[in-house]
Amino acid sequence: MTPEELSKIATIEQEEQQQHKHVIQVCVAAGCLSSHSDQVKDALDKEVSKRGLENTCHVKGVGCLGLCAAGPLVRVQPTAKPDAAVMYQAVTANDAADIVSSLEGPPVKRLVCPTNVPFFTRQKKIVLENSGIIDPDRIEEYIAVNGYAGLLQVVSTMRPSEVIDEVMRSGLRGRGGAGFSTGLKWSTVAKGRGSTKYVICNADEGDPGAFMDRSVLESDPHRVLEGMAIAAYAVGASQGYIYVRAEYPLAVKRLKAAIRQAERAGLLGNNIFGITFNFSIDIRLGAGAFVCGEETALIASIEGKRGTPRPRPPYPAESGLWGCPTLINNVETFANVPPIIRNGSAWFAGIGTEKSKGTKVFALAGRVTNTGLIEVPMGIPLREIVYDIGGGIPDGKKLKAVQTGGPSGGCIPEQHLDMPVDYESLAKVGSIMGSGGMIIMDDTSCMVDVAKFFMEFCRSESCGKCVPCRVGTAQMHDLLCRITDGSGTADDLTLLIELCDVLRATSLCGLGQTAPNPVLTTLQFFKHEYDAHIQKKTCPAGSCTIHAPAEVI
Amino acid sequence: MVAAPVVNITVNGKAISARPGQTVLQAAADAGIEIPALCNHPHLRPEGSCRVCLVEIEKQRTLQPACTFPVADGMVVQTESAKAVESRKMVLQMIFSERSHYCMYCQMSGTAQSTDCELQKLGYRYGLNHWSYGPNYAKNWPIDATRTHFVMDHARCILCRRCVRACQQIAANHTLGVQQRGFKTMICADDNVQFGESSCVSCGTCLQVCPTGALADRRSAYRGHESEVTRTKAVCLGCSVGCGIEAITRDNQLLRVEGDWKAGNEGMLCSVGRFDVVEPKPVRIMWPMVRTDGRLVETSWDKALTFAAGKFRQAHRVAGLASPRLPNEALAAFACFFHEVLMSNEVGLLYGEDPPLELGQPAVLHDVAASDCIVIIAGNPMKQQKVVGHLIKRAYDNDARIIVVNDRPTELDSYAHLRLQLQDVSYHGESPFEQLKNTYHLRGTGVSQLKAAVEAAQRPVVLYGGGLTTTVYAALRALPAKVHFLPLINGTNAAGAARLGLRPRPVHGEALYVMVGDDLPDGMVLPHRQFTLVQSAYRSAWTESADVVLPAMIWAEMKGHMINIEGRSLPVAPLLVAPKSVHACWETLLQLSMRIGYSLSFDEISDISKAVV
Ligand SMILES: Cc1cc2nc3c(=O)[nH]c(=O)nc-3n(C[C@H](O)[C@H](O)[C@H](O)COP(=O)(O)O)c2cc1C
Ligand code: SF4
Ligand code: SF4
Ligand code: SF4
Repeated sequence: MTPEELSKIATIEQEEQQQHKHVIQVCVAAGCLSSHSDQVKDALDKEVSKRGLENTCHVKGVGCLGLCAAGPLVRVQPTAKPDAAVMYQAVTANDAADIVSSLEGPPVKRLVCPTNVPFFTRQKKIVLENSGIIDPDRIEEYIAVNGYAGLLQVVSTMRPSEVIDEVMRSGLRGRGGAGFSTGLKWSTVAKGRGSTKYVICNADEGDPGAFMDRSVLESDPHRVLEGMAIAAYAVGASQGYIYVRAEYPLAVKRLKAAIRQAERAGLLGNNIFGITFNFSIDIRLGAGAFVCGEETALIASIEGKRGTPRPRPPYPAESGLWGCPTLINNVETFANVPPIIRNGSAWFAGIGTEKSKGTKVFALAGRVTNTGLIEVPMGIPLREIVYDIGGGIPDGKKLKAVQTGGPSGGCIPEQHLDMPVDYESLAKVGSIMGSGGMIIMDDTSCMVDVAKFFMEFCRSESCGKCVPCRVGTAQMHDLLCRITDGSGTADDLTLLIELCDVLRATSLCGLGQTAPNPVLTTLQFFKHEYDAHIQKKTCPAGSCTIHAPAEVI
Repeated sequence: MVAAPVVNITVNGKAISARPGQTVLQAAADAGIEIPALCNHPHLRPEGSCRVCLVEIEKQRTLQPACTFPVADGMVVQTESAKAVESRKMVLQMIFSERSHYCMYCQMSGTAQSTDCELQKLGYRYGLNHWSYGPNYAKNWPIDATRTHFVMDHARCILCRRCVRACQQIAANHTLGVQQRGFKTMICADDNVQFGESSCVSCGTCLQVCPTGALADRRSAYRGHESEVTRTKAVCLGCSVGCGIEAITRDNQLLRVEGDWKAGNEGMLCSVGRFDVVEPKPVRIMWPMVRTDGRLVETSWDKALTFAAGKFRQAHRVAGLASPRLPNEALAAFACFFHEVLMSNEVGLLYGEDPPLELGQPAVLHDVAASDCIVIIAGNPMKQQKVVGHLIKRAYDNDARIIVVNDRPTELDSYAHLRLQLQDVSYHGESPFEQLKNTYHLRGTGVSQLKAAVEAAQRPVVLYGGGLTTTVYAALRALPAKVHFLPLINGTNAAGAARLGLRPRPVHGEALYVMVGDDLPDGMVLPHRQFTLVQSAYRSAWTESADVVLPAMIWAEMKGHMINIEGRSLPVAPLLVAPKSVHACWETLLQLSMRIGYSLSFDEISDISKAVV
């Protein structure tokens, strides 16, 4: 591949797209697929060819359009006026004829999904900029929207250290949970000893309810490949691995296709853009254990061993895969890299807050009107996410808490709703950014029960290697069960708090260290709910079945 | 000379010079400071999972595991600070609460001074007299008693994974693993089958490293705490490897055998050396017996010896066979007795095989484990020198090339990167003159493959069995000088015997003296003679066909030396006192010689055996 060839592909693709008067984008990401968007696409295809419109109307499958709760989603876009696009929701195969008929006239009213609402207007799309727009199965479409231009720029005009500086200046921090400075991590790996280095993309995404990474991989896989290739160039690696959950068959399929296309186009493989830069990517399937997302466990799993974490130091950046310096970043982290290179670090650093730059993708779920995938600038007030983007709490219920960070995170109460969503603010209230799960809870949720739910998750998903995590989560779960069923005592609460401290202080990896977070934050903000269970033997939210009669106390 | 670099650290206020690359725990241990740990074991790679060894390290945000944390210059460590002790107590409580540690029913349990359980010991040390967490007694933790020699009681397992790592890293057997995760985690064999049906070879390495009562030896359980037993370093006489052992004895009984970590076998033993030695044996012979009216009848030493001496004097020629399990001293006395007293050269070994020694540089056991290319020609170490078999598998795990040359299938075939027939590696001499000049012509294509592999390696080792043609040995001698050789000798002390001129061979004479020590026939039949004297520790088919039977010591009662496959002379120390009526072989021979009329002296015998060493 030469630079000229790259721009030629882009031009041809753009010209081809211009030939169609309309493009109909059907979401074929996992969410909409589960409500049979593939049948919708088939029906639209048939309808278009039945009317002989193949040359003027192009029906294509695209990645996630965001508002998953309203799927299957279809977007009709006039090529000449992209802004006049119309979004349809809950489309079925039977609607195909009406949609095609409406191309030259007014939209199909009953299907229209308004896009001038905050759910769409308050979002800021960087990682998801191509989601729902390009066909993830065609590299040409990615190239047509400036894809691989970042890689070209890097290998043809920048030295590896300049790339690292650029990423460092952008202020990008890891999106896999801990928020470590990406530039700093890259420079450690670049300085690492030995000539063999690896780049790993962490696509294990094990938080219950999270699907940000999956969506990126399904909607825009080349963006991740490009990010990895830029990283490989910067740190001096020639082999990369994407560790992806086996439960994401569609993401795996798209990734495989994308890697094949990139290899064929000479964008992966040997002598990329004609210089002596070689980089290949292989896929490794995760067995589905949450803990395999932890970097040292993930590395062990790629090495063919049981996926359990090991103590750090040494950190993977010094001694990772097969003992070699290894860069491991999250999907979303890599997905941010191409636009940072293309638009410059200053552009990226201009978005967000002082210490948290750029955007963050969240999977909005729970008791909120608009559930789905959203991308917001760092620092956006939590209230705006819940009430503007999320559309508020349905059924006239009252918001109780927002859970972020999954089993490692915490429950943020209503009184903190005006806090900005960034790494530091979330940590201040005892939660974490995490990988991007965000669950909205209303007053029907019992906070002790929520803590119990996450503890159940942790006790089952602990790798079982270190004592505090293996035994402590089981003990804490037992205590929470006692409290929720009404047999808990004040001593149990003391023990629970004590265990929180022990687990934090003594666990081997992040799973055990952060497992107490849901308990700690619910205790901090909803202590009265614990007290009610223990002293009054009642569940304020009315969701727990209390066995012990209240008179006993 | 550059002085070895040191890392200066402070542990509990004490200045310590550590070596770079050491962990905090190792450095502290070298300085006599014991940091408690349960998953850590000095001979296993640390994994930092039990969290008992967490210590306070200045400038570290959280407590750090001493067993994995590398030392760095200027590091200040507190191992027993309030914070470290507090967390250690909590972790211990958690371990106790996880499964059913009913200490009073456990063979390891004891007082603060006497307990053999590392967990209980820490419980005492940190004053745990209760734990606050809910006990987990409700669950029926399984017991797996499907292995002959030892039992796994999951109720006492603390999931430290020492056993798993020992099975992988030391025995290289990869039987043990972990199944499930979280609170359901369990130690398992293979794909979670019963131990008895698994790939376990009962080497017992896991048993030796288990810190609790989870892995229990059927024979030694409940037979004495460490504080009440005697530990003696000795040599296993099970085969020619001569593994270092630590024999655990009490009241003149052998309770248990463990592998000596400091010996060439690096703590490992096979089931023969570890378990068979404490299995029940046939009836012990306590007094001499003479066949009277067709039956063996017990009699006094004097009567039996006088009777046997008379028979030997009468005989035209007396033949002798000795077991290669006997130490040099006994064998030397036996040989001397035949040459000097009976004037007979008809003396040899009952069985055994000693390949020619000194084909090149001799190898030590560690060379096998550390080799990057191992050639095994004839012999079957996985069966006959089992610990060597484990060392080969360990090298295999470290990516060594394995080449097996054998006409028969062996257990090593599945590990072989190259499999050849013996004829493939035979040189065929063109003429005697050329043979003299050591210029051989290739017969098989294998020679070049073998040579290439060995040449490409940095630490090649050749293990070779006996009974090969001279052309094969010649081919081996012609290998590059960097090759180290280890003979796969059959018969524990066949090497010592060979140095005394004793080899397995047919012997002639109408009277026969068979000195078997504690050896057992295992199907082997003695040649039939007019008169047969068998000196044996146990009753067996051999003694049942004898005319006179004399008692003998068992291996654990004998004193002397043996020569192992490395060619090293190893002391055979007496671990037990023999019954009063049982004497050392050389003593019997002195007595016999007196009665025959040529009195051997003790000095004569000891001179000969010394010459061997
Ligand atoms: C229990 C546990 C699970 C984790 N799961 C994930 C995951 O699914 N995806 C991910 O990117 N990082 C996960 N991490 C974080 C990784 O260990 C690692 O920090 C991350 O991949 C680094 O990438 P980043 O710097 O781009 O965030 C997990 C950490 C822990 C302790
Ligand atoms: S293993 Fe140790 S702690 Fe457990 S029952 Fe036995 S003696 Fe007690
Ligand atoms: S059986 Fe023993 S060595 Fe193995 S994990 Fe359990 S306690 Fe540790
Ligand atoms: S006895 Fe040996 S082979 Fe069997 S499980 Fe233990 S270490 Fe592994």
